[in-house]
Formats: sequence, C-alpha cells, structure tokens
Amino acid sequence: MSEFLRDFVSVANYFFLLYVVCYAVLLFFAAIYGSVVSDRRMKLKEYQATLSLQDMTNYFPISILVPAHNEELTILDAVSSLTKLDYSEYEVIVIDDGSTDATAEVLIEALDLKRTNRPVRLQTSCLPIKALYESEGQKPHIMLAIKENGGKADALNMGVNLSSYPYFLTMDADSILQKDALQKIIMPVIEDSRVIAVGGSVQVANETLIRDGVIEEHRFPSKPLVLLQLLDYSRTFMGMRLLLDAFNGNMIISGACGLFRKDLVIQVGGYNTNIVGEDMELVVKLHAFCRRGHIPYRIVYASDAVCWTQVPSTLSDLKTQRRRWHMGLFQSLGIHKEALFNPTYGSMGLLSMVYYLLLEAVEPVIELLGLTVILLAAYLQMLNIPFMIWYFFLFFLLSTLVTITSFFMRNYTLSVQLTVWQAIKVILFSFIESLGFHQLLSVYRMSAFVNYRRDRHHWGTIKRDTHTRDKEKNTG
Amino acid sequence: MIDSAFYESNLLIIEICVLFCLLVNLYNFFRYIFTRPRSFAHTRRVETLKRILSAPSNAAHLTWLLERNTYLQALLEALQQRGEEGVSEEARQLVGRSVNENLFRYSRRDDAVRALAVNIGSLSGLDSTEFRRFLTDCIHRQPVYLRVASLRACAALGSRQFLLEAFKELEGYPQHYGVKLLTDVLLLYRGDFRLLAGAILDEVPSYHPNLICALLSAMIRLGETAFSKRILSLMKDAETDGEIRIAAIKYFGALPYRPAQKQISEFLGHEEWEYAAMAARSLESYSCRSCGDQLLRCLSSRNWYVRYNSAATLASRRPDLVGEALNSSDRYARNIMQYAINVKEAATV
Repeated sequence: MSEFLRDFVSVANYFFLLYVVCYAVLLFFAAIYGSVVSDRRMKLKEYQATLSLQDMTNYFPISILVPAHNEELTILDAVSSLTKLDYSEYEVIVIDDGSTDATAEVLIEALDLKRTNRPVRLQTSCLPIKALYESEGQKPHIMLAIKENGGKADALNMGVNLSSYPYFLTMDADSILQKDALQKIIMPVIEDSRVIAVGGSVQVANETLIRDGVIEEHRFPSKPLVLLQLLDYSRTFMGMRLLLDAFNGNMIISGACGLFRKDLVIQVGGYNTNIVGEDMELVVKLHAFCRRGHIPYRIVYASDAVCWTQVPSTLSDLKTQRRRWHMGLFQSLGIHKEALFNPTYGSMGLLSMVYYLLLEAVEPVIELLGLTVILLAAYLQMLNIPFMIWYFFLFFLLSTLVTITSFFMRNYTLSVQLTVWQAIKVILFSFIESLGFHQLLSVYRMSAFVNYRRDRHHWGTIKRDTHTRDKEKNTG
Repeated sequence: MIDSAFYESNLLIIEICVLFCLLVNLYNFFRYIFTRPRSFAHTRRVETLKRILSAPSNAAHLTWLLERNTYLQALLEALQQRGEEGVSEEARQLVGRSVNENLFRYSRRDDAVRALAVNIGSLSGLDSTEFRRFLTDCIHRQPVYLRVASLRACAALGSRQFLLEAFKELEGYPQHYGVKLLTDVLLLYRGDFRLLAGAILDEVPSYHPNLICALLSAMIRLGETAFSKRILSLMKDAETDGEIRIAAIKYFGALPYRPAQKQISEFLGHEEWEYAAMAARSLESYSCRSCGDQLLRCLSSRNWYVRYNSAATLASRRPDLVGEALNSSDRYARNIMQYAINVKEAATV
C-alpha cells in the first residue's frame, strides 16, 4: 500500500507540476500578448482618428437590449445614460421580465412612455408580451416590453424580436455604458467585415460618481472586496480574452456588454433559456454554427468599449455570482461537448474549450487534489520543502506580476490616472489577490459542484445598490 | 525516485516567466514616459506638409516623405485642415503624383494605411491606372471602412464604367453594403447621374438588390423622375427582387407617377404584408378616389402595419371615409382608425 501511495504521489507530482507550469506560461503569454496588442491597437487608433471612422457608424445602427428584473433602484440611471451616448443611430429596448417591484412604473413615468399595440414578430422563442410602451418623438427611440418572468435569456430573446436594427448590444440593468462605448464596440465590425460578435470591457462601477446618467468621476474603490474584484476583472479582460482573440477562440462575451449580429443569432435559435450561462452558450453556438457552415467569421474583444457595472460588495453575493458563472460554464461546455478536441471546430475545439475545461471548469477540483497530494507527500516524507516553497513563491510572484501588468494596461487603455498611494495599494492588493482571494474564488466555484442538479436553473439574488449620485443625494 | 532534473527545468521555466513579466512592466513604464512627445512630432509633420502644400515644388521630396506611414497620416490631416478651397490645383497634382508613385508600397501595408492612401488620392483628384487598380483591390479587403472609402473614391472619379464594375464586385454580408451606404456613394458620383442610373437600370440582374434600392433612394433625394416608366415595369414584374419592388413602391410614394397608382392599389391585396403596408403608405401621395374601398378593407387586415398605414392614408386623403371607418363593425378597424387620428393630431400640435 505504501509503495502504491508513493508511486501515486510521484505520478501526481509530475501532473501537478506540468499543470502549474502550463497555467503559468499561459498567464504569462496572456499578459505579454495583451501588452503588445493594446499598444498596437493604440497606434491603429491614431490612423483611424485621422480617417474619421466614427462617420462610418451612421451605417451601423444598433439596438441596445436591457433585460431587467426587479431593478427599480438602478434602471433609470442605466436608461438615462443610454439616452446620452455618442452614436448616430440607435434604439433602447428595456425588457421587464416579470418584475414584482416598480421597474416598469419608474420608466413609464420618468420617460413619459405611451402604450402601443404594435405587434412583435417572434423570430426567437420567448414568453408572450403583456404590454409594450414606446417613447414618442424622442431620440433615441425607447421601448419598454413587459412580459412574464422567463429568465434573462428569455428576456433577451424578446429584445431580439423587438429590435429593428441589424446589430444588437446586450447590457445589464445595473450597468452604465460609457458615452463612447457604442462607437468603440462597433469599430471591430468596421475594421473587419467578418466580425459577428464583439465583447466589451466590463469595469467596476461600485463607487463611480454618476450625474444625469453620465459618469462624472471614476473613484478608486475603497472597499477591499471591490478592489480585489477589479484586479480579477483586469486580469480576465486584459489578459486571457485578448490572447484568445488571437486564435479566434473567445468563448465568453459578457452579458453586461456584448454586440451581436442579429441575423446569425436568429439563425442559431437565439439564447438558450434552459441554462444560467446563456451568454457563453450563445457565443459557443455561434462558433459552432459558423465552423460547421464554413462561414468566415471572427468573435473579438474591444478593450476600450467600456461598460461600468456593479460587482458584489459582500461575500455572500460574490459567492452567488461566481457559483452561477461556474455552473453556466459547465452547462455550456456540456451542451457543446462534441466540439472538444474536435479539429472541425478549429481553435475553439482544440484550444479554447480545452483551456476552459482544464484551467477554468475543473481548476478548483485540481487545486483541491493538489493540496491533498501535498499532505499525502508530507505524510510519506516525500516532500522537498525548500523546493516546494521556492516553487510556490515563484508561481505566486508570477501571478501577482500578471495581475499588476493587466491592471496598469487597463488604466493605460482607459486613460485612468492613479495617485502614488493608489498605485501602491494596487500592488499590495495584487499580492492578496494571488494568495487568498483567488483561493476563495476557487472555493466558491467548487460550491457549484454541490447541489448542481438542484440549482442549475437558479439565478439567485444579488443585492443591488444605487449609484453614487443617488447615495449622495440621499445623504445630502 | 523523483527526477530532480524535471523539477529543476520546471522551476527554470517559471523563473524565466517571472523575469520576462518584470521586463514587460519596465518596458511599459518607459514607453509611457518616452512616447508622450509623439503628438508633438506629429504636429510638426502636419506643419511641414502644410508648408509644402502652400508652395508646392519638390515632387521627389514629397514622394520620399510619403514613403512613411506617419507622413501619410499627417498629409491627410493637413489636407483636411486646409479644406477644399485651401489647396491649389498645383498642390493637388503634386500630392496625386507622389501618392501614385508610392502605391506599390501601400499595397503591401496595413489596411489603415491603404485607407489613408485612398482618401488622399481621392482628395487630390488622382486618376491613374495604378490608382484604379489599387481601388479595385481595396474593395475586396476585409475592413468595411476601406471598402467604403474605395467605393466613394470610385464615385468621385466620375468614371461611369469604372464605378459600374466596382458595383458588380460587391459581395458579402449585405449590411456592409447597406442601402444607406450605397445611396451616399451614388450621391457622391461626379459624372452624369442620369447616364449612370440608366446604365444600372439596363442591367438590374447584374447588381446586388441593395444597389437598385439605393439608386431609387438616391433618385428620391435628387427628385429624379426621368426613369419612372422603367421603374414601373420593374415594380410590375413579379420576377423582380421583392426588396426592389418595395423600394419602387416607396419611390412612387415620394415622386408620384399617375400610371403607377393602379399597380400600387393592386398591392393592397398582396399576400405579403410588406407590399400591402408600403402600398397603403404610398397611396397617401395620390388622390385615392378609386382606392378608398380597398383602404377601408385593409383596416381589417391581420397585419398591424397594413392597418395602420391604411388608416393614416385615409385620415390624410379621404377624410370623408373616416366616419365610416370609425363606425365599422370590426373593432380592430375602429381602434386603428382612432389611433391614426390621434397620431395625426399629436403631430400637428
């Protein structure tokens, strides 16, 4: 038995070492590539400024879809900000997905919406509409659809059915789009006619000052949990997503800010209403559809198309969110499992899905097993402690450096200034993010495996907060 | 026995990664510090080129400068700042010659650089075999902005034949050659628009339906009625693409043509709602003495847009029939008529 355990630990050691090195090298390439691409894009943008490409946006009208469920605190801010965007032609469609609070009433009263009997052409399946309200003589045109509760995916399908334009952008009701977000997110389409979907950059808005629906001041997060999530977002958006772009392997476009070509979304059947990770599943479906149909396409990420969103400010809300994301990841990978290791699906099947399966989906399990093997090795006196400490220290240092690189790249892209103290705080928290916060997120993601079958359709509730303008108004 | 060489090599890989990460951060930091003066260098380039445009003389010098992308970019900005009146014919010709000589370089560079060259070539009035070939190549490139710039440049050349050939090359997702975009291109055409329109209408099947729709849209904007008879025969022909027929109905709504009224009235009973809805809307431009009954019947259509457009036309052209509509036994007809009246009253307030 002892011999068997020793052999097991030896083999496991090889596996975990390779796993850690692969992960570290991938993170490293993600950060380096992100830096190179961001720099190249900034150069390209100088040419494009001279070419006045924003005039081209006249030819790409966009429908903005805002699914909402019990969002009375934030919906007016979100929609108000949408009426002030720098874009030539767009419309705003809010879908009230069976709210039990005053979400619809807030909008009808504030925007003077009138009820209309205009029919809805059902090109993707969704629950029936109960009432439709529209603005009159106002630019942009605003629609409010009130329907039965069917979930976010169902609400988005309703939005697709209502939309008039060939491209639509999805966003969350608690988010604020930056004024130039539409211009920036449509640019990849203008730059490359093969682009069928574009992911925007989601940034943390928890302490952002908003006035009249416009972001007035970016405030550095004061809450540690919010700052840690900001660092986590930076690493995800500025690192991995840009790297996956290079292989046309982006499988996630955040539901908080994603642009899609409507005709293709309709062809793939719209959003899947049976899973919680509907945003990822749609992107994977588009990949699969275009690959199988030999349609030249690209799905890319626009790091300068910014949407500000609220992140959970308590641990229990964070757990709910990350658990749901992880369940959605599993569901999407499960539905499209035939793409895994399948050369027909190109880089999506051979690279992206492998990455998401091994380094995202089962990573918490592998971490837990790794800890178990370490304890077993210690019990069997097989542990080379100085080597282990040095190894983990290096990995931890690399992870921290990647976080710092990604964060400062994000600031460079968004032209956000930091004070010296804020920069020092970022560096300190990057260490905590690598040793502590990341492991906590792994525990939360592990919890997705528990009661998966029971909770796989359950979104959970996350407490919303008003944006800073309302807080300041209320406290005088 | 644990293979220590394996472990050592793993350790080395991570050490290298850490070192590179540190170097990248240092690189980003220094690049941020030292590239900030870039905008100053760009401003200097623009001023240099403005001076050359004011006193055009040395073609070889300008050609040499334009070998570089940075000067190409600066030249476009200089031309934009000068505006059309601010650049002499001599300067334009100088710019055109210099760009022409560098086209073979630009054709091997980034698409954004090609777009700069297309814009400058067009602004300078460049028209050479090399430039036309360059434009034809650019129409097939991936960036939509480059294709659009190339089409616009083709239109600005004023060569009917060349533009028609460019239109025949359109391919891909129709939105990238949307009606709005193509209408703008047609309106930029510097040659004889009538001759161009006639040539396109002679070979409708050779072109993308969006182009024909764009042509009709451009004709509406220009008030061009010389081809009404031909457009009417297109509209009557059931083999014509549906979008073109609907665009033709819209054309006759904007530019009334008496012989078209009968055909438009017949579309009120079409099985596809788009035809009926557009026909109902277009009849607002006609007297509707003979189609009042048909419009009343359309108030009971299953399609909301057909009902609404019919009601709007009745409210506008046949107020004598409004009462009949409001007293109709069909609830939907009554509702839509009332709705149309409310919208009309709200618009006049």
